[in-house]
Amino acid sequence: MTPAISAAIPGTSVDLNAWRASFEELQRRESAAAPGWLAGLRRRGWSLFEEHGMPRPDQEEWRFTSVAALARLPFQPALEPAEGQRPGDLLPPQAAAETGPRLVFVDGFFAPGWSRLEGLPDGVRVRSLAEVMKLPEPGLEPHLFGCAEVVDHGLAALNMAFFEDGAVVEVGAGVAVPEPIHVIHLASGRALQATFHLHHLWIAGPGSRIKIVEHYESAQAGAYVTNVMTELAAGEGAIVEHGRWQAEGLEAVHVASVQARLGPRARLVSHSISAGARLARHDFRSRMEGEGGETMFNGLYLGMGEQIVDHHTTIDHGAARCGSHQQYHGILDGRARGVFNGKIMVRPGAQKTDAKQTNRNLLLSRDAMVHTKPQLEIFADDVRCTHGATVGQMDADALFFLRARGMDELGARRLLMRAFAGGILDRVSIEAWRERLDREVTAWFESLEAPAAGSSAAAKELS
Amino acid sequence: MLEIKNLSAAVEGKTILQGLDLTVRPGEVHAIMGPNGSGKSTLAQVLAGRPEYQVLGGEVRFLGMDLLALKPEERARAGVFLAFQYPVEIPGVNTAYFLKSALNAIRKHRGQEPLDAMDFLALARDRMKLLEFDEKFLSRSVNEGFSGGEKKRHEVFQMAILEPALAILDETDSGLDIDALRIVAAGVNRLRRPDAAQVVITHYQRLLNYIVPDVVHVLLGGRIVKSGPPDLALQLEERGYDWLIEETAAPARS
Ligand SMILES: Nc1ncnc2c1ncn2[C@@H]1O[C@H](COP(=O)(O)OP(=O)(O)OP(=O)(O)O)[C@@H](O)[C@H]1O
Ligand SMILES: [Mg+2]
Repeated sequence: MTPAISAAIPGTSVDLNAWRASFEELQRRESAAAPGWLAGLRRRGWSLFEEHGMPRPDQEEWRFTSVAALARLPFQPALEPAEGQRPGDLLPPQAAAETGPRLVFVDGFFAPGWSRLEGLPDGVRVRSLAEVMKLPEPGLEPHLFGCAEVVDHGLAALNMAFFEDGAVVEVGAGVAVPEPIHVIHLASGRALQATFHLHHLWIAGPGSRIKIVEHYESAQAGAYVTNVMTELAAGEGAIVEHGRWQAEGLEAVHVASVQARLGPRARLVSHSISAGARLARHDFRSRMEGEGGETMFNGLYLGMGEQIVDHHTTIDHGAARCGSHQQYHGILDGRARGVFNGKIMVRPGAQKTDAKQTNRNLLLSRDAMVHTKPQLEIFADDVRCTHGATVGQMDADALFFLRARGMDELGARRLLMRAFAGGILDRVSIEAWRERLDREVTAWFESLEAPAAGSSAAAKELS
Repeated sequence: MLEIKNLSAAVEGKTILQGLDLTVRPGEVHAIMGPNGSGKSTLAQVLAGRPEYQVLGGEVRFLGMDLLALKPEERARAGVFLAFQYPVEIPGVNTAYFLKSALNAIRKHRGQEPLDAMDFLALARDRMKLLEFDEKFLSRSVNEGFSGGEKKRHEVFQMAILEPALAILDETDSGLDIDALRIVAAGVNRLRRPDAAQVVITHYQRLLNYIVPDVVHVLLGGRIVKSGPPDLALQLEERGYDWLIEETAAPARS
């Protein structure tokens, strides 16, 4: 194989040869057993990676989110389950307490012993991707890597080249799944400096209803990368509620891509709550391909210390009379940095489009920063598109009012932060999950360092 | 119970209060009048402890304490209550939750058991009757979407729940319609106690027909320049402030 590009990944000091060696090893390992379709996908993924390279800061989409830190470390794909990958004490108590159906992944691989699939109604089929990968025909066309656009950067291409496991959930036409399915990802801390390439595929048949929540958590501190792609197809009239709770350890890197395709009158509500990882990058895309589709993207991102949290969204209005509503709130403390880039694309013929985008940011410290940018590409004339972004500090009037009624300063601050976060959390209809998020977010507020006595400087001078 | 001596205060580097004196005893009602921008709200905010207002000099004692040394929340717990001239809207903060938290913070300070949701609701219903304040406001966000008059009535409702020792009402009458004014004033009167005092800031003598003060003060140029019986308000209504401005400009006081 002749190298198509130089050995070092442009813009980074990463040694491409190491990744190439991993890829070749994977191919060798799979060559005998792997079906042709799989090898084909992998080869396509690898050549796309060679094309894109690692994301670089001179690329518009990655200007504010440097993956240099990621590229410097010798992250290698986790090619098989790590030693002692299914220890019994891994599951954090809150995940263990989650009732209802769940799929657990430990260090990037499905852990059937921890998963619970009883009680799912007829017409729902759940498999691990690893299982599907053994089949001569996956029977998942046209959904698995369903369109070229899903691989829009080097890390997504790596996912295509290296994906090892994930959840494949198929819901038959007209089937309503009453309970949410929780997909829980745990990093054990035993597979350090590894990259977990996960790939989920969820297919909601016409007229079906399903709720799925992804959780990402670290059982122990340590550096690793989660590189996950979730493809989601909602058939005509399907109703999907999707959630993500990203709380990986502060040494981890989280790269997520959520790629949805909606049929006519399908409705997707997706919530992204992100509090963990030192670098978290989320790419969300909804392609509405039939008339009357509806997408709601909600997001709450919390950052402290040196964390970077990035949401790039793309709403693709590909048909007439579709609606989209995006609401993202960020709370940033310390030297944390937030990025929100919201792209709304209205294709020719997508008349009567109704698209709304709001991004609000609360900066708790002088050094916290946010980059927010709407991006409208409109090729139809009868459309309504609105967008707005705000960046501000804690409302001094509100804070004083609460204190003047007897609440202590810290409590008043937390109450105001909770109110700001509530603008997103209150949109979650999965009650048990919302209550858990409320507790998690409250704990995050409580973990913040007390603010420097900036606002009470005058009061201080008196004493 | 409240003793202000030679108080000077500034905001954004501009001196507003310039040597203000005021003494209020338990059970009394004081009215403060004065032209726009004379410093009435500044006085109220300084007493409540707003950090943006800088005290330059003077002393305030409240129930024997050095009030200016306390944080805003400590003042509230000690019994200071300010009904704001411009109540702030706080989207996402539930009114009942907020008020129950505030009340329980104050009760804790007094060494009382916290009220649970049921007891709080009972108390709230009782005080709502007093002010003819609709229960639906309890389930809404604090002041969000309230009309101007509703916000003012809400301030007095909070006062009725928190039962402060010293209530400072900053233009609570502006924005109230005629009926509401009567109801709110009657409520305020019912909240009078021998051990509690009220300071009522207003532009209109009319309010003082309902809330009859023991003393009327005129605040002008950052100082109390005249104090007198309720009649003084009638006099001001008739003559305005110009005569006082002339009267106080002439002698070289302090
Ligand atoms: N936060 C602030 N920043 C700058 N100036 C202020 C601030 N607060 C008050 N001032 C100024 O201080 C002066 C006194 O204001 P204050 O609100 O105390 O007047 P007031 O007597 O309550 O008037 P009104 O009858 O109109 O309510 C005014 O000139 C006002 O512009
Ligand atoms: Mg005023």
